[in-house]
Amino acid sequence: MMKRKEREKGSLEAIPLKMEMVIHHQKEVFCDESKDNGVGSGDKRPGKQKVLLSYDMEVETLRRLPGKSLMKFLCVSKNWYSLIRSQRFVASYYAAKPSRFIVAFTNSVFSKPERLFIMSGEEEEGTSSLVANLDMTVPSVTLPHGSAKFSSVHGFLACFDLSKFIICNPSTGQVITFHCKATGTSLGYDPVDDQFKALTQVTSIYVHNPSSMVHEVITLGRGGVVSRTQVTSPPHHPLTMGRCINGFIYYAAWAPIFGATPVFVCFDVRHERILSFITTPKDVMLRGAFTLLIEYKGKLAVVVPDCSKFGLSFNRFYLWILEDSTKHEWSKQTFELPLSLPFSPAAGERMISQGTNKAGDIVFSPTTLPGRAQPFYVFYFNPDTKNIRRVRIHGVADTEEFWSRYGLTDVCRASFSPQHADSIASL
Amino acid sequence: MSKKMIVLKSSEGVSFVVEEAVARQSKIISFLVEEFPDRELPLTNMTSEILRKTIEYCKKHVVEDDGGGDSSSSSSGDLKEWDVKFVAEIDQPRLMDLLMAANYLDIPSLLDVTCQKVADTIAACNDEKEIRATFNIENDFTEEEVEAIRMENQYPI
Repeated sequence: MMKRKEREKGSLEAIPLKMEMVIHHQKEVFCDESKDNGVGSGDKRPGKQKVLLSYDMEVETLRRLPGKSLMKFLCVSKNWYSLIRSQRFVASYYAAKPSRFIVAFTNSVFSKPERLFIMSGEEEEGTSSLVANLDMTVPSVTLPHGSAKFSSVHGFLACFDLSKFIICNPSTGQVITFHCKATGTSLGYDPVDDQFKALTQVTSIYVHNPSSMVHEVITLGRGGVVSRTQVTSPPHHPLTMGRCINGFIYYAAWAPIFGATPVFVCFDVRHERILSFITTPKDVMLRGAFTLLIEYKGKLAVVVPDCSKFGLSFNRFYLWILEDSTKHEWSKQTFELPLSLPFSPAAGERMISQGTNKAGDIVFSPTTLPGRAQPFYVFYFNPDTKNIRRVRIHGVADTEEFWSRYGLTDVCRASFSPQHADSIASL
Repeated sequence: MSKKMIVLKSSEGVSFVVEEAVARQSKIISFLVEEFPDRELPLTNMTSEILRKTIEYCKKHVVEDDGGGDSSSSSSGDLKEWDVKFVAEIDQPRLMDLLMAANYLDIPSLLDVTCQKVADTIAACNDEKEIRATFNIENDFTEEEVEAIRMENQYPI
């Protein structure tokens, strides 16, 4: 207990003191420079200016504010600006925030105006209802294709719409849109250099028998694209969008051509190279383009619904976990659900998994809004107790008022990302 | 068994006699009590007013463990309500002093409520001008600089 006190050394010396301590007037605001751990504030502040709080206490206070408030208040003073923008503050803000879920959906492909809606709410365990609030909308975005097109990466939400790649931060409202040569673009994050990069494919999947494949690595920063570099890999046919886990992007593919050997491609975000083709049992990719990649306890995993009994729905699924990516070792678990969930590969209803919540429940969510002004439900499956919990997400286009205000019609694509982290980083 | 008392002295030299259990919510005082038993503890950077407020908070939050088993003097719901009222009644400059005192004495729960109150006050401001006025912060940006930051950070909603 006592040993942990080292940090307060400055204060300790100050207590039985006779020297050094400034006696503050009642009205003066307390600031003891010696206690400041030497971080930033002291030398930056002009002598006469009234000091509000010590650096640590400013951090302690400001990290409680919503991202949008912080963006609004960047211009309070130079001191606030440099604090809010500092890497240290961004990192401590990220670490301190409770985990959230993100619901994203677009208007139907055939309707105007086209718009992407992003909502979020705080995750809570064991409840049957959660509340989502609208964070932002992005105009001119519609997501015509069926499989999962969203991914939440270190506080940012990425999706692609034909040749456009869209990255937004729902906490601050920042949006970056850029052009990609192919639709198979994935966002990755390198935690070592704190750097976001997107991986896109240059060689078309329709090229007959290519000897190698070219990819583009797009480095992001200061409001857009910083650089584009090209990397090559042995030929393969990507099946899914990538999922970034701890500095590596994984996606399912056939190598060397469509229908050949199932593999998972592993891309090292930091060193910008295709690291390996991970040998994968063919049952992992039973669902083809609907292969559901999730992060499970820090590892890549695939949720494979078993529709053999009901055709378009499942009450059993397999969880394949990539136990060792260098040894290409997979493990398989079978789970029976107490109810059946729809899994239509065509236009019908489909419940997919995009990950787990903080407690480790595997989350199943619909790929479309459930219909005009209908309640939006998500299912949380606990792999230990085998219980499934239906959770209503309030606020997700579940009123007539919302549908008419935003001109929603028909089938709207939706996506649910659990364990999204709040970040005030800006790209 | 009579309760052990300790003496805390403010910057004006005013002595406060406090039950040890109450004062021990401060990790610093807890440490000092063991290092310097039976000594008056001078808190020369805390005014009597702030020290009184801090003690008032600690008294409310003390966990009494002399009656067999731990039991807080109030239920947690009541305490939360009390905390909200407690910080609401303090004006801005004194709230800052209290926040710094909570940090200095290392009283995590008091630090939490005071920081939250300051954060709520900031969040309630409409623009940066209101924040500067409320917290007496000098604007050291030129108008061009403010404009540039706005351009850089204004995203469509």
